[in-house]
Formats: sequence, C-alpha cells, structure tokens
Amino acid sequence: MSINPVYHQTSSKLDQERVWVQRAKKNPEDFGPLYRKYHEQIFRYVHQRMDDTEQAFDVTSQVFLKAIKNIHKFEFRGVPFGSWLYRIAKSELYQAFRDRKVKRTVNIETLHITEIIEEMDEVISDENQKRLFNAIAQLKEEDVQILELRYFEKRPYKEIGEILEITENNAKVKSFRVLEKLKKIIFKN
Amino acid sequence: MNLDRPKISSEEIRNRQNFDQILGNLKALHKPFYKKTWFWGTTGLATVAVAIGLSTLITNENNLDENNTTLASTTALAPLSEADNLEDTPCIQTPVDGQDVPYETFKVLPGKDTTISTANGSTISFKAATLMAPDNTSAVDVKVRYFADKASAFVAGIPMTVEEGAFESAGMLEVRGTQNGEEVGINPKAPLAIDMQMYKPSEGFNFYYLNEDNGGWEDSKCVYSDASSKERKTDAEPVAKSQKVTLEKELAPQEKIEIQERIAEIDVELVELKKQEPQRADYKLVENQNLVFDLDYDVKEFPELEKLQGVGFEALPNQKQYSDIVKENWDNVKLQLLEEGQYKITFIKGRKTNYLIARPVLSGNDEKEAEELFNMVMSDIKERKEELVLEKKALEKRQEDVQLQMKKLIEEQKAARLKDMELRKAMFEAQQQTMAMGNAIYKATASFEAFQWGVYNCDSPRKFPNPAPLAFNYYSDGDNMQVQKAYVFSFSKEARFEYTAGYFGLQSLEKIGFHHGKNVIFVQDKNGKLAYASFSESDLPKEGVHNFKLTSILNADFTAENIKAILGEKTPSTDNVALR
Repeated sequence: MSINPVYHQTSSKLDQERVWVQRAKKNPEDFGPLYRKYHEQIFRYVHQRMDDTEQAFDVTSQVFLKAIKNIHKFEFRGVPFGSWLYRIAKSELYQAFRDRKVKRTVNIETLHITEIIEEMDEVISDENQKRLFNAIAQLKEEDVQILELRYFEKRPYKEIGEILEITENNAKVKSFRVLEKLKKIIFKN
Repeated sequence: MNLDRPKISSEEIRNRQNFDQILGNLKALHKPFYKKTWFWGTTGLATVAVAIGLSTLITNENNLDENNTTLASTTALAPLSEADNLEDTPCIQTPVDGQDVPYETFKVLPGKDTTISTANGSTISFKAATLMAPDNTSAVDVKVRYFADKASAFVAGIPMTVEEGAFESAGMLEVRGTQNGEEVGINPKAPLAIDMQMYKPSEGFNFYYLNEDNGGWEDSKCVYSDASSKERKTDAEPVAKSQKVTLEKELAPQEKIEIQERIAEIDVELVELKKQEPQRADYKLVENQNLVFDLDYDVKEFPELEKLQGVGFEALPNQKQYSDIVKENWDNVKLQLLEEGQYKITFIKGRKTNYLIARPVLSGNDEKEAEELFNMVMSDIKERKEELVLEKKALEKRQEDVQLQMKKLIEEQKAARLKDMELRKAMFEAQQQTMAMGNAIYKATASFEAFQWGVYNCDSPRKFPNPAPLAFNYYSDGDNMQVQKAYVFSFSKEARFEYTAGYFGLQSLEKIGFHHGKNVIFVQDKNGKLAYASFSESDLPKEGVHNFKLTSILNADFTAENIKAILGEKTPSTDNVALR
C-alpha cells in the first residue's frame, strides 16, 4: 500500500517549523505560517468525518484557535507539531459530535474499497465491494478511525500512533486487526 | 456513509483561510488577570502568600466565633430568583430549546465569609478569599441547581453517559459564579466547601466532576456521611494528595515553567551536538595505530587513492584474520571499493587467499591538516557542550530551589485545609449529636471542596444493556418518526441510556437495548419533536420488528414536573435517606 507523501516531512521542513513554533509561542500573530501550512490538511481531516462543509470549516477554525491558545504547552520532545494539531482536531471533532452540532459520517472512495480488498487478498468484484461497504458500517468507531487514518488517508503508522496516542507498533497491530474484523464480518454474512 | 463524495479543491479551501478572524476570536477569549500564569509567578506568589496569611488570621478568628455561636451561625442568604438561568455549556445541552431547570440565585460578596443554603438543604461555604472577582465591592451571582431525580437531569441536558455505561445518581449539584455576566475565578487556596445532600445512601456510589472541556466525567473526592453507618467515612489523605497535585499545577510559577522549557531546549541541543560530533573516519584519520598497514597497489585502477598521496590503510576492528594476514608475505593484492569509502582487500599467495575490510587513512602533511580540522570542529562542539552542561546544572539547582519554595507553600496550604476539614467534621458530628437528642432526622451528605464551577455528582455507572435483536419503528400521531436520538430510562438500573443516530458502538441508535422490567423511551427527530412510550421489556417480541406507538410531547410541556409524572418519579426527600 502506498503512503501519502503529504504526511511526510523532511528535516529541513521540521527545522523551519521549529522556528515558526518558537516565534508563535512568543507572539500569536506569528502563528500565521503554521496556519497556512496546516489549514488544508486539518480541514480535510475534519471534513472527511462529516457531511456539512460549513461546519467543517468552523471546526477547523476552532482547532487553530485552540492550538494558538495552547501553543505554550507544546514541546518538540513530544509529538511533531502536525500530529499535535491532529490530536486537537480529533478532540474538537468528537466534541462537535457529542454536542450534536454535526453528524458523524464516513466518506469512502471506490478506490479505497478496491485497495482494501487487494490488501485482504480477495477478488475485486462488485459483490465484494458491496460486502466490504456494508462491513465497514458495522465496525466500532475505534476501528473506523484506524481504517480512515491508515487505508483512506494513507498515513504512516508512526503518525497514526501519534494522533491516537498509541505506540507505532500498536497502530500496526490495530490496522491489521481491522482488516481481520472486516474479513470476519464479510465471510460471516 | 458516503461513497465518492465530490472533493473540495485546494483553492477553495485556501480561499476560506482567515487567520485574522482567528486572532480576533483569540483576543475575545482574553483571560482575566487572575487566570494568567504570571499572576502565579514569583511576584504573584508573594502577594498571594500575604493574602493567605491575612485570610488565615481572619478565618481563625471567624472559626472561634463560629465555635462560640453554635452551628446555626452559617449565614444563608435567601435565593433571589429561580428563573434567572445561565446559558447551557457545550456539553450541557437541554434536549428542547427554551426548556431548562431553573437555578437558585444567591448574591455573595467577595471578601466576606459566607455560607448559602439551597432549597434542598445543601450548603456552600465561601471564605473571604474564595471569589476572585474583578470588582471586590460588587456581589457575585452564585447560581445553583440540584438534580434530585432523573427527570430534572434529563430536562437540563446533563450528560450521564460514561464509557460503556450510564450513571445512576444519588445526588448531583451544579454551581456557577458570575459577576456582570463574566465568570469569576475560584481561589485554589480557598475553594468552595460544599455539603451536598444526597437522596440515596452513599454505599456503592463514587464521586465525579463533569469536565466541560471534553464532556467526560472525572473521578473526584468527597467525604460521605451516612446515617446508616453513623460514621463519617473520612477520605482526608487522598483528598490532601489530590489537592497537592492541583496546587502544584496551579501554583507552578512562571519561572519554573521557563526553567523546564530551557532545560528541554538544552537537552535537544545536546542530542543534536552528539550527532554532529566529527568521526575520525570521516576525516580519514587513524583510530587505532595497531591496525594500520601499507599496501602497494596500482593507482591507475584506484584514482581516488592517488589523489590522497601516500595513503595507508586501517583495518576495521574485530577481524580475527588480521594477525594472520600481517604475519604473512603475500604475492599479490586486489582492492575492491565497497560502500562508505571502505575497501575489501584480498591477499593472494599461490592458491591461498584471505581478505580484510579496511579504510584509507592519511599520512604526512595531509594527516596533519585533517587532524587540525578535526580538532577544530571537535573543540567547537566540546566548548558548546560544556557551556550547555554548565547552564543546565545551574538551572537544575534553581529548579530545586523553586521546588522547595513551592513545597513549603503547598505544605502550609495542606495543613490549613486539613485543619478546616477537621473543623467541618467536628461541626457535622456535633450536628448529628444535636439531632440525635431531638427527634432525629438523619441525612446523607457528600462534603467536598470545589476548585472549579460546574457539576458534581455522586454516581454509580450502570452498563448499557445488550442490543435488542429487533428492528424498531417509531410511530407518533400516525407518522413514522425519523429518530435522531433516543433516551431510555431503565427502572431497574435507575439510569438514562442515550442512543444517537450516526454514532458507533453502544451509543449507536442501531444498538438500542433494554434492561429487564419497566422502561420508558423518549425519542426525538431531527426537528426536535419529542415522543415517549412506557413498556416492559418482557412485552417486546423476541425477534423481528417492533412498532413503538408513542405519545408526543409539546415543547412547552417538556418540564421536569411533566417528565417526572411520565417516569412516575417523586422528588425524593433528602431526609431519612438511610432509613428508606
């Protein structure tokens, strides 16, 4: 399975980011470059999980507001800045779901479905695509999160671990188990 | 689930960026001075220490007065208004807009010891230093609601879901404090002292605080006093410990935070410097003279070695064959360039061959120049490392000093609080004795200190029921309702279980289930229309489809009184709790 290059950072980019973060800690107005760098990524992450585009923009703004407010707590020794933002986004999203402001949806592309079927070593057929689609609907939220991060958004395990606050290994195991669960559901039916 | 939803273009997303608006919102969130870190810095701590000293003196004097004037000396102010409501917080959302459980409102002056009594007999005590209001001369509006039944918590929209269960409550209280519409701070060194009346015995119930940032319930601490055991279950030590953690967090002076940040930066730089340390091999310098040997080779074959002039070789360490090879006179030698500038050197004598992995090393002037360059880089790095290590040591020393200062302050606060707790315990015991002498009315109480405004609850989690193996239709006034939310009140579990369309897991509407015995289900569609039905779990079919025939409720009728009537609840008395 290919990995989305958007989620990879070179060391020079990370150094640049480190400087931006240090500046933003001193002056919130200097958060601008970080906002421009991550706005689209965070928006797509949020929008992927809901129907309402306007609400997705609102939640994204809320994520950055929280990030600026709490940037003094951010330390480079922990997770990379991007993953820290995703954690805030995850928390804001679930708050919005709890407040019933937005409805949780799962957005899938046909390409994802075929890739997952390939990953399962099964035949790509209309029937199997339909079965998989129905099986995803039966997964628990925790499993859907893994599926979205790994198979729809193609994030590396390390980043999945950082976003979900689990180890890289655990992210690998969980991703594997989601496929196993899907297989079980498909073949049970 | 959506399949192949059209993608939004990057350009459209970029056009919606509005950093200025976010900065504007940030300014609107500006914290009051007493919530700022600098206030809790070295200067602020000194100020606070003086203030505490004074307030302790005043409190001690007041305590003496209280002891002399018996227990009735608590000054309860009459509630002003019951309709003066606050807006819902994000995680407390009443299911029907415009309907809510009213607050009792009290006017409390900052800078004065005050105790208020709520309609259900709970008391909230404020020390002179408790309320940190911008204006100390104006009263603070303290608003309190007590949830004595499932209906009122439902109407108020208090979330009762916790992990894989829902809470059964034995008493829940919400308290808020504002001045001119702005929330006032609570001094962490003089928190609210609350004696909350309960309507069930405390056995099996824990104490929780609703974290309004994430909508979750967090473990908290209280001291229960039950008439059933006639013993006050003192949990003083854990209370003191949890207070210590809170205090450490809240009193952490700016200087301590800055020291920690600087130490972290130093650690990062030290790791980076370690990575940047030059390696002798990179400069083609000898690392172990004992492993150096010369070779005759054809420089035409290896032009990179010709450039180095007079190059020798150093065998990589831990090659057992090295000693055998150097003892022997070889007829021929072959070089093969490997990765990272290393060579595989094959020695040949007749049919006998052996080989070594080695790297070229400089000699003569070249070696001298490389050695100088290596030393210069190494010395720069060493110098910087020494500077950083010294700075780190000094910071760690300063950190210890600041820690000691904080520890001392925390110990003082802890002692003051324990003293206060002992006093309240003594007051409670005296109250029990007084009551026992007359016609005793026993009460169960949860006593706790509140460091934050919000909802405090004596709860016990009840597990969600297993999903029913049935499909459900919901009919109200002949219409099939498109249900978004269902609230199931289980009579056997004394709890409200919530289900939502579009959720996953146990809270998913598709996984609705019912505990044995009587249940009441309320459902709500996306327009907010509410309807309900009462039924017994045993009346449901074992499989297939069940059609709920629901009675609709007008929004105006969604009041605690009406819901109580539907649930057949009576407002429980907080008296004689243990005797029930």
